[in-house]
Amino acid sequence: MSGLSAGSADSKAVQQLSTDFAKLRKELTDATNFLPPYNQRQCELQLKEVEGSLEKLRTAAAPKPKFAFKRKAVPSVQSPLPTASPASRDAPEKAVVVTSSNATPSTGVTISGRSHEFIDLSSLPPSVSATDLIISDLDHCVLYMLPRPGLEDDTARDVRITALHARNVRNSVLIMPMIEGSALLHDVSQCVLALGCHQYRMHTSTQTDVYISLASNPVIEHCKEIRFANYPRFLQRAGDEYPSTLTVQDFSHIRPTPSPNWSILPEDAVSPEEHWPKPGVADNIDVDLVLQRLLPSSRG
Amino acid sequence: MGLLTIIRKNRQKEKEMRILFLGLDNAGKTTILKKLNGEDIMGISPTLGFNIKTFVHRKYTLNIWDVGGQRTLRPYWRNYFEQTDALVWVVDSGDRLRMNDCKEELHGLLLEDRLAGASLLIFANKQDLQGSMSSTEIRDALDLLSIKSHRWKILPCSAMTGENLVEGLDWVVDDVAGRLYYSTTTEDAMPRQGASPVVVH
Ligand SMILES: Nc1nc2c(ncn2[C@@H]2O[C@H](COP(=O)(O)OP(=O)(O)OP(=O)(O)O)[C@@H](O)[C@H]2O)c(=O)[nH]1
Ligand SMILES: [Mg+2]
Repeated sequence: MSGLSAGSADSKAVQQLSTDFAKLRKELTDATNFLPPYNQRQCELQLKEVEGSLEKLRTAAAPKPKFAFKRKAVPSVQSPLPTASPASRDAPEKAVVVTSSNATPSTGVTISGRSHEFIDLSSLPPSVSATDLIISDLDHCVLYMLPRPGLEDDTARDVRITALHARNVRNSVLIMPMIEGSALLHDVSQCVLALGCHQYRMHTSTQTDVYISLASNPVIEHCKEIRFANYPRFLQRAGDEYPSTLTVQDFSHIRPTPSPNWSILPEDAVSPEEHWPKPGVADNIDVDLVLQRLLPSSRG
Repeated sequence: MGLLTIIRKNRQKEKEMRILFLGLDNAGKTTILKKLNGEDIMGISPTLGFNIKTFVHRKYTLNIWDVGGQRTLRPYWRNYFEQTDALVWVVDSGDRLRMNDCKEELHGLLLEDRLAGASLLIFANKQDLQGSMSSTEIRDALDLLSIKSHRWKILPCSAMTGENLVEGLDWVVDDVAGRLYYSTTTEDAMPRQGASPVVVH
């Protein structure tokens, strides 16, 4: 390992090394049961060195994408979102703002408990320009969080998403922009996701295609039949960087053998552009049609 | 002279502290440590295993252990309990869907004999996110007021802006030092039990 110089690395080799390194780390973690603290410490220091060299190799192999948090200096004190105006004109009864009973409640944008719906940025409170997003309990929905420039209402505006938490999403398509922070998902099944993010963690999920762009290693745990592909070009927006190296780590399968729980979506299984909902189209999106075209289960 | 006393005496010379960073995955443990250490925080992947950071803060050498919080790694947390002076529990304050998991994992740890006597700092991290719960909300969601076994404090913070990170370390160092180094009863190797909680916010 120490013999490798930063000049000679291609990304395949780096990928292999990353996997080997992950295994070493796991072995050391396992060994902490019986290794005396001094030896643990020495091993850890050695691993650290290796990690350092690996990091250099990685940088050399794939020039670091410029993807970065573009957050403007947000004041770090609690700054609750302005309360959603209940007069949100489309669907006033579908409140998306969670308010706790506390005296000075913090608020966040939640989209929850929907089925057979097309949900776009107009579902968010009109005043929101940047927010973290919680998505839970969706079934047969198409969630489209990109601006739709053809429209002249607030679905045309741009909302920055700073972090994503999702739980219990089924038979749905989620189309997200480049998320500045991390994405954390649980209990997702038979879905298609498209997103960019800083980090990606997916738990207890099955049969889902993930079109993703990120600069760190996407992680799955207790998942089955997850397929990864690069974030589709036609969803990409000018000005954003879309890193495209994927080194998926399956925390449920740290072994020399490849994880049976995920694969790379084969080229011919990548959904063509015309199957994805089109931004800027004013007429109603046919949710069932989109689901039928995109969902892995219906495409076999 | 018992073994613990000897260990304590040795440590007293070096002024070392062992601090354990735990919390659910995605809480921001690694990011906080890198930020504190002045390192780049963009290229961080979820932790598979653990990291050790050693840095000098004020006149103390802090050995900080940052262990991955993914569910498959949590059973390994116990391998790091020995000799822990302080536990720093990091919370993703925007992770409303998992506050209950977070509470259960924390309260489970507090029952561990080998962590008895450790100071407990709770970092309510990611306060820069708009939807984050405040430290008061998190105090309630994690039922911190019921903790009688450890001296504890909760601080709102952000690994992105750096808000309150150093303040958190300061509290840890002061609290541990008050116990380890300024106590005149070094012969008494028992950790202080049932001390009154320090509550902030
Ligand atoms: N907005 C915001 N994001 C943060 C903050 N702290 C961490 N993050 C992001 O949260 C994600 C998780 O951070 P990590 O430091 O990897 O979390 P961890 O607790 O070490 O996670 P594990 O290693 O899986 O246990 C990353 O995408 C970070 O950039 C914060 O204060 N504000
Ligand atoms: Mg980590």
